[in-house]
Amino acid sequence: MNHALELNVLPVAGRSDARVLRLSGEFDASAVERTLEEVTSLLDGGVVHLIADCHDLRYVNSTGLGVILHFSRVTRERGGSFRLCQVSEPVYEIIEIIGATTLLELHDTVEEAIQAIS
Amino acid sequence: MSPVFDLSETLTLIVWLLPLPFLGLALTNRGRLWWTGWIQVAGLFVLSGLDVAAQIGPQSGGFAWIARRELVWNCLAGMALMVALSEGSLTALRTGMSQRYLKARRFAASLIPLFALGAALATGTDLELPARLAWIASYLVFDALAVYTAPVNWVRALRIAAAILLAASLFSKIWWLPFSVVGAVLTATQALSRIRRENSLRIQRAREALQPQALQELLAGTTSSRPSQDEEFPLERLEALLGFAAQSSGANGGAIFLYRELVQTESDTLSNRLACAVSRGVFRDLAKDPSSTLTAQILLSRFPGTETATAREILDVDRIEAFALQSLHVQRLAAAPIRTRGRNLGLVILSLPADREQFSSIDLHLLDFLAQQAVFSLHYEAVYHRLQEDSRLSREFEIASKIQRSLLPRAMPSVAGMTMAARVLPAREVGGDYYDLLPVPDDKLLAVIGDVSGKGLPAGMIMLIVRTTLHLLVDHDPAASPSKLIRSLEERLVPQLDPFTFMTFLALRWSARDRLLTWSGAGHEHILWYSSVDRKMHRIRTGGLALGLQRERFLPRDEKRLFLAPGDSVLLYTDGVTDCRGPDGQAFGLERLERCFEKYQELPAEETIEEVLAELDRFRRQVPPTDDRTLVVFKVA
Repeated sequence: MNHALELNVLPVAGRSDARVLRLSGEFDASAVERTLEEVTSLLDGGVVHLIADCHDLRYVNSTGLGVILHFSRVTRERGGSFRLCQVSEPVYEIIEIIGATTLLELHDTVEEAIQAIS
Repeated sequence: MSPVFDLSETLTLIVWLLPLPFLGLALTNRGRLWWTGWIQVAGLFVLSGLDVAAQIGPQSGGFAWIARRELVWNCLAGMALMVALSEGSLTALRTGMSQRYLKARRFAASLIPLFALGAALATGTDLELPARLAWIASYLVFDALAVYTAPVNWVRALRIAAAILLAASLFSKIWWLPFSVVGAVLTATQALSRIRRENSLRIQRAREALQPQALQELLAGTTSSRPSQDEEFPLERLEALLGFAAQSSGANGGAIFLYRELVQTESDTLSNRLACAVSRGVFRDLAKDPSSTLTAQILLSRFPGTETATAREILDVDRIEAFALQSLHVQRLAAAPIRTRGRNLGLVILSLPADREQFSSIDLHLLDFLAQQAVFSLHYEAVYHRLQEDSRLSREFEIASKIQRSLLPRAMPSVAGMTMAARVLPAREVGGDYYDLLPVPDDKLLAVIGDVSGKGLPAGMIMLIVRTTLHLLVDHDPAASPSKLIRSLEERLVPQLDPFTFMTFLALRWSARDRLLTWSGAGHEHILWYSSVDRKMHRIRTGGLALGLQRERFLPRDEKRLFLAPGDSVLLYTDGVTDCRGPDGQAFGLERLERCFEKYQELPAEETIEEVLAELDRFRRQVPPTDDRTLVVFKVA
């Protein structure tokens, strides 16, 4: 079974300052470095809105969540947002337990999230 | 004999002087062959001289030819020619300046039969022309075979024998031939047996040295005493290997070069890239004294093409040989790359002394062996150092782990109306899970559990900060409520967390008098409560934001409460327990933990924990846990 996190960056039509991050697999310590690198380079390139499509994200541990929360803070500081869509039950539970549901912007679909930023 | 220049006489004299190059060859061999060759050649000289004198004598009246100026002239000219030829060979052999000299020597040797042919046609012997031609032809074949096909060490012996045979056949009366043949055969046999003896000795030495036991001793001897730490490469093993290879091959010098940095660039020459790591024999100053007259550049430049080719090109060759350095009495050099997994680490070089003309196949095997062993040795050192480093780190981790364990409650505090047990199992030596049980005045107990995101040493450091801060806070204000404690902890802890780290935390206060459990949560896992009243498990959300999620301002924390009845049990845990994976990748999960706790809740607290952990171990089988696991059980009496 492949647990490794896959991260695909997709453009958002008409918004050069936004990207969809399609996350699949499991987000734990092994994926942190790569994710940090890729997302930081996006942010350095002027992207401020990030929409994480979590449809295929099976699991996220506290380390992965730490990274997500960090980007949520950074994008907010830059006047943008970090939105999570299609979050699965187990992932939502973890977010809920640590109390981050109020900090993260959660949406049902990617389209909804895109609408929210425009 | 009236003309001043007489071709026939000149040729006669040249042929007469033919043995000179072979005298030269014999002279360069300083072993017993030297004497054999010398005696043979001298004998031939005298006999041939007498032969010529006998031929000329009758025409000019005894030995009066000595007085004839033309003949002396011709004699001197012939001698000069032969001396030049032999000197060419001598120089080439002694100094081995370059491949050109070897070619010159071969060329000179190939001229000899031509002189012989001329002489045979010009002078009269007992042999008929066809017989002479047959001899010459056989010599040519013999010489060609000797030079180009025979094993290198045999060439000299075979050629001396051939030359003596030829000279004898051309000069002598037919009755002299058998004697000459016997002499030639003797010479050749002696030379060959000596070479064989030397070779077999070397093979024996090499075999002994290559015995596993001998190798073990060699390696053991060099690993027992460790080099000082400030040395970049520990060189003792390389030195021992080089010594072994040099001794076994009879080399008079050897050196191991390593890349200054193991990165090759296309533009640099070999000598710029390599540094001599160890050296011995005639090269001994290379490694020890960089200012010595023999520099790495001089040594490396002996190998053809090294000054223009890049290091990569040179070391792509398996093995290279070169003639070398007169000043150091080095006859020949051979080098082999130290190569591992397609990557060049350096170069090993062995040199032969002036009395050894060629490397034997045994020598070259030893050179390859040395190169391979150098690879092994370098790998070994790298691994050894890594292990040392690892063991140093693991010792330090062990200490850190011990410190961390020593900070956990040593014994369960005795609190009225409650028994408890707790266990923390870090995934690594040091973990980021934390629990504490602090008795506070008025028969109360403060219990905390927390989980720093991430694990290992960084999380462990945070855990230490949390513990220290918490103990200070409780010492300062033992009556502080859980919510106040969390708020104070948050204020002190969060500024010290890196941007990705947060900590879930749960603080509970148990008051025995009113059986009241009060708690405040910071994003921690649920409280699992078994109620003896309805005999059911209850999952209680603890609420609150984990520490580190909110960094700008800290809001007041909620507090919740729960009355516990006698017979009730409470389980606190960290997500390392529920996230623990089995062999199929499935997580242990909250439901399974609840069922498991319910099953064993009647047992004393300590046994409940043991049973739950045993079940967890059965679930994950041999799969190593990826996160720290903590369990705390309370039982109301």
